[in-house]
Amino acid sequence: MPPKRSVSRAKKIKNVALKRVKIGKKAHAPSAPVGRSASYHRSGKWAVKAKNGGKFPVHPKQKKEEEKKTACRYYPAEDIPQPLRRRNVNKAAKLKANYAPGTILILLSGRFRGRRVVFLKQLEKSGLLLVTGPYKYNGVPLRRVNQAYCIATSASVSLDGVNLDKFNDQYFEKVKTAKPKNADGFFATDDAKKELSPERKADQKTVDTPIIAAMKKTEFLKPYVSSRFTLSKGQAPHTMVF
Amino acid sequence: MSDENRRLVEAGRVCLVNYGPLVGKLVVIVTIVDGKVALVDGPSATNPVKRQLMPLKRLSITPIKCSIPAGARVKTLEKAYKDAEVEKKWAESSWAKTIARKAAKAKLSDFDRFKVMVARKTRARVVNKAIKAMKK
Repeated sequence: MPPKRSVSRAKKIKNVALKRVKIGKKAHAPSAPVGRSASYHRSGKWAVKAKNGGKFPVHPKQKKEEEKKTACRYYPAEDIPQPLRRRNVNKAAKLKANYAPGTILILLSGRFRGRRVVFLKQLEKSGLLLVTGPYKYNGVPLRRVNQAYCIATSASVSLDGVNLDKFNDQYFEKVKTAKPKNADGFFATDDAKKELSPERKADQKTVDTPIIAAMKKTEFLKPYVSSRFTLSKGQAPHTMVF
Repeated sequence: MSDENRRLVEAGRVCLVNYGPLVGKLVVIVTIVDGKVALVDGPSATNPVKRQLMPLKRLSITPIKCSIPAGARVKTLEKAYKDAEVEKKWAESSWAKTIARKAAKAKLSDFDRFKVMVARKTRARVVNKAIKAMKK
């Protein structure tokens, strides 16, 4: 049912028409001056300007933060995705029971897969394992590996005289070099080969020297570490003893 | 094969269990229940097996035998087992040695396997060299 009208529809239309005629008479009277300056004068803006020192008064802009605080009266019509709060903290993985500093590990992934390396220590922040080849024996440098992708063997080396205080996750972080953000920079190739810093080389040597000395005490340990691990016919890793 | 050397399913026959939870243990047949099942007992001091029924399918018959009457009691069996020197005979057999060798091989660590590999290669080198010299 339509709402009750106080004035009849016909009367309303008549009233509007009358109003228009009145305004029209005033504004478009044949005697009234025509033109931009005349209409400006008629608008009365000059009076407002004169009152405010030659300028329109401007409302000071409200700060957006205040707007945020006022709660919205209605629910938004559309869903606004809101990121969930993350409560989980990445904890360093627990070291498996058969991993001890000095244990010889078999790497299972990455470009050194199959290599036997010496486990040095677990890094605190990331929980990754610090390992070394030694570099001279099998080409594996000081490196971080995930223990999930290793097999710990029962062979081990003494780590006496090896100082590992220097090594943490920060030590292995990459140094980013900014490229220019234009098309040339995007397509540019790194022609210059990255040289390992002499500091890294020196660290490698200081760590490896006592380990190599300790390895020489056990017969066949050097060729063992130098050789790669492979599965041969009839061998299944889950039934094997390492 | 003469009758003496035939391996028969009979009372006093020593068998190796080849399946189930008792796999690898020695038992003696006490009685044959029917064509498929026997009553067995393992009187070994180190690796005893309780007297129980066992399907013949799970038993591998050895050439060893101890002399007991069918349905012998535990004490009689123990004495006969000792007198026949079952465990000594078993340990000396090449069958037992093969099993022991396989078990030892399975226990080898990765480093041990590597050392075995090196030793095998070294032996082959020496042998091949000698053979080559003999051929000339």
